[in-house]
Amino acid sequence: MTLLSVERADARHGLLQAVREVSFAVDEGETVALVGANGAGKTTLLRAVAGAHRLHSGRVRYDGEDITDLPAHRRVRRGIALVPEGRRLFPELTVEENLRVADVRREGEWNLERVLDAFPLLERLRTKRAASLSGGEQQATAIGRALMTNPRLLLLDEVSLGLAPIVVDDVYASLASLQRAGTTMLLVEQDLGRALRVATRVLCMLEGRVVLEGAAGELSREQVTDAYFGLARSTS
Amino acid sequence: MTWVNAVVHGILLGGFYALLAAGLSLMFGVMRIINLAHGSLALVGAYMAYLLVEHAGITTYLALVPVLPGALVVGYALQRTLLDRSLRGGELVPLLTTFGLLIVIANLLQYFFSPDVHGLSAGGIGPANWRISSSLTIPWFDVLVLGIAIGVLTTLHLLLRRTQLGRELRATAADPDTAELVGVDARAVYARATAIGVAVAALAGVFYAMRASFDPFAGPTQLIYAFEAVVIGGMGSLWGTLVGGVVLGVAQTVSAQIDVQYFQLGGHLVFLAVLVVRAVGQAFELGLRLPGGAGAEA
Repeated sequence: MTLLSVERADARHGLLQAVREVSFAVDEGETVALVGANGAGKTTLLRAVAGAHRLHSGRVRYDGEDITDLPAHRRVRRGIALVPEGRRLFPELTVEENLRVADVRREGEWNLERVLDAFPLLERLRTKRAASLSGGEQQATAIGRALMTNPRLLLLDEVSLGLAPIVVDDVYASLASLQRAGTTMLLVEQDLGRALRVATRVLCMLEGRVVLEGAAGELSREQVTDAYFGLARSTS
Repeated sequence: MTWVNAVVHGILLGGFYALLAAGLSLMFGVMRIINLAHGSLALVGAYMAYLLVEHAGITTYLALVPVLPGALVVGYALQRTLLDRSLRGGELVPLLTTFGLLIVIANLLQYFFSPDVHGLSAGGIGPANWRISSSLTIPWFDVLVLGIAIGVLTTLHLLLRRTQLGRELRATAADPDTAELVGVDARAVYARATAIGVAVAALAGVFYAMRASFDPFAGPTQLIYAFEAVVIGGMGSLWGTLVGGVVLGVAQTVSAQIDVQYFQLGGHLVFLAVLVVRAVGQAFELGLRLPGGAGAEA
């Protein structure tokens, strides 16, 4: 069943067109990776789905409903949560407060105890201010914060950026368990190898357009790399 | 002993300034709005109470029961209709909007209530004093106001630290876009902040009207005291506001002890001194940070 569909989406930053006529759909339970070079429009597209960036034209449909004009906070209440690039925690709030502020009382299995169980390192950091955390701890808090909203569709923007490789492994291990629990995910990832391993399907963006789309198992690394850099190699 | 008296009275006066400044501090802390109409909104509270006391024949304290919820509604509506729009226009627009509001309020009050001076009765507590020595007396009313100021600041502190609305207020203050992304309706949070700010302003206005006479144009003077208390205490910090109010009050009463004419001047001079010290401090900090080179912030 289609959970999310984006239809002919155009998004701009002032005069700059960041996303051009992008259309794609995500089925319930899927993990879709958005890959592409810097400035390809991945973050803008993700933020448009979350409601943080207004589309210039095009529609966003979610769970059979047109949500294009719905503000971000109301999309959260319907089950769309974004883990933003750079974590964007509330620095003066403690870890626990960062988590609890996102408690929108949506039905679901996630609550403060469950999140602290899922990220054991957060338990002893509960009363620490978010500003004092390491990068990995911040990322765990940011993912935990998104989970507090009980998302049906989890959007993740560059969760591995700026983290030590071993910490990235931890982060992806927790994402894998979310995947197994049936959470639908749309993620932006710079690391191609990781994107191909974690995702069921891959969308490659170049200069605001989706130039390649396919099941992660069927795409070769070369195909994706070529699309990534815009190399025209028109063979299968 | 007269100096002790001056300091004690200054501290008590500081309680009133802190009460006056609490709403201003809250609104600045959450929305970065400097509400120039704050003093005028306090006056609106005083006039609302005046109407009830004159026409319903109730005491000033009882008049607070309908005035405070009324002020909450006024604040909420003000944010939804006027301030929301001006916030979208950038940093300067709210300043202009609230300045305009200040003038509109003063003129509306003059139109409806005439330019006459009014006062509200503080009841039996008004003239009551606790006489410690021939030169040291403590007015009960001022103690009451200080107590209410501490009560209001404590309540606001607990609201911000212990409740979901408080977490939403602080999250929105830090980063409204991200707050939206975790399900917080930033506009609704702003409206609640203004509602609380205006209600506290109205509370301060009613107590102001009990301690001094008021007229439709008394708002801006009260705004200056509130503003000075907020700045001295550190913008947007609630407990700093209490400290700022007390510093301002003591500066005024101690200056008045030297010469009655210096009452206002003393307060303004302390305010100016705080600004200069901060500016010098910041210049020093910048000077120390520069050799650290680029990347020190990252």
